[in-house]
Amino acid sequence: MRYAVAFIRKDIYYLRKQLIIAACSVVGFTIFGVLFCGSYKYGNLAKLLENDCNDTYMTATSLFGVLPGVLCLLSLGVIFWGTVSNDRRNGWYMFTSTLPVSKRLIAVTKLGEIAAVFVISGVIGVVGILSCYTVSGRDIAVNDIFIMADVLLFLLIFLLLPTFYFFKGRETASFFTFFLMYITADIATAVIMLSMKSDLDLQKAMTFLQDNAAVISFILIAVNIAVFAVSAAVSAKILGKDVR
Amino acid sequence: MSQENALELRGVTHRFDGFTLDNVSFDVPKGSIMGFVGQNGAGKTTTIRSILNILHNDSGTIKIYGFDSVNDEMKIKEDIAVVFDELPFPDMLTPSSLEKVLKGLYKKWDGTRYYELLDRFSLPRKKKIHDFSRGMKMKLQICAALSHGAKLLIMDEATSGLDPVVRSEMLDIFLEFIGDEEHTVLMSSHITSDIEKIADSVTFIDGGKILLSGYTSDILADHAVLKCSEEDISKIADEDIVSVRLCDFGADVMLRNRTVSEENYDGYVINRTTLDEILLFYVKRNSGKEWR
Repeated sequence: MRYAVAFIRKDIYYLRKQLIIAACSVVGFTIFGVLFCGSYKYGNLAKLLENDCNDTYMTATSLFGVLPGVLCLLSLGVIFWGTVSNDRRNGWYMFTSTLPVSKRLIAVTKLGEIAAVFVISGVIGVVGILSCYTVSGRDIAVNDIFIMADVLLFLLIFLLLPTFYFFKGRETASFFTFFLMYITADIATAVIMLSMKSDLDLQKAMTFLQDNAAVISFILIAVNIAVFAVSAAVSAKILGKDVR
Repeated sequence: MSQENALELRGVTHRFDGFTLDNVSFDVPKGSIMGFVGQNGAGKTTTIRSILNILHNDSGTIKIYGFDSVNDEMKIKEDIAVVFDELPFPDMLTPSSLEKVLKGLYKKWDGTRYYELLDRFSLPRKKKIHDFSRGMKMKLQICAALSHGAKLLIMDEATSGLDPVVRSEMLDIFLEFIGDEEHTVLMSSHITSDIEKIADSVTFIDGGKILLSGYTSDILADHAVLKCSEEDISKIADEDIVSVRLCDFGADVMLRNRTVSEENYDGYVINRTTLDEILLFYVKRNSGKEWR
């Protein structure tokens, strides 16, 4: 635990400036989102867009409500991923090989650190979203938010850290990450489009998901923990070879 | 293992693609400084990585203060400090913030000692590391390495690229460090003048093989360069010769036993030599038409 705290402290010292900037941006966007949503009832741009689209999920209110959370996840998460390449470039991993710590602990700490950043920023994001919905007087789709957060954690953290280690934190890792996210988004879009053209009732599926959100969330959390363990083991193995 | 040895390598072998660390064996006595000398790519860093168990050896054993480097790795690493040729700390940190990180990594961390060393080297506490010169960075590494109660200090080309003044300051610190009989230094370098100044013993390595290992004073006393004509080389017994360098004015012959040679080859000029020359003659033997 002592080592884990020291490793995290090192990253926080290293990223102090970026973290302050990211935190200010997130708070700023959240305040903006809340104010924007608060003005919804008085007839703002969101109202106009909603009238045009007439689609609950595509309102500008939702967009501005979700934005702070998404920004949190992307900015803070990406910043912490960056420490993988920094650690390699400045020889930190070589230094850690002189310490009485295992590579697995280093990988688990890094995973835990990034997971914690995502969770904390996710919480800020959810608070932002809830605030936006509350001030705009709209129904809150909490289940959607939790499921989305679970899937994001699964995709963004646990699958991608080994990727960053594998590519030694180089630009290729970022490219691969965005490529993977792009593919994932494409697959999701394709599924939606196919379901719209086929007999599959998307609305029914969404209703099922919402009705069973608690169970699904628990299952996803369990899957996340399992993937966390596998991810840590794979990362440690890659990291061990990299240092050699 | 002898309790007098801080470090003991026996038959350490590690095969890479294109390079083999071949049956490396040497001892570093407690309370001494050993120079580990070889040209670039000779296997110095590979040996150090084997000692640190960063590389898993194909065969051989390494004991550090009596503990096995593999089975007792976690136990012994607290007692080892390593100084690399490049600073391995994030360059956005300051010496002060680095101290807060390092104190969490070592059980026996001594913050007072760390700041004393910073002051001694006139290193600023609040300046970011990326604004440091190479000399300052190396000094900072030394400060960190000597502040957690390590008994064995391993230096991997740490003095390369530093000016003589900084090197001299660092060498003084190492001499102080080994003042305590328990403390030991293994110093890898290709700057043999530094080794000659402070090392009690020296080990030469080339192509992954140990060429020579022993007390510095003995090695310097035993070896000598005999100057003769090319025709006279045949008068010198093969077992006395390390290698021969041919030049325009004759030949330089590196002899392996100066005392005996001075008696046997009376009439020839036999000069004392340096570690640099000794390394050169061992590494270059049979390597071209100028060398035999």
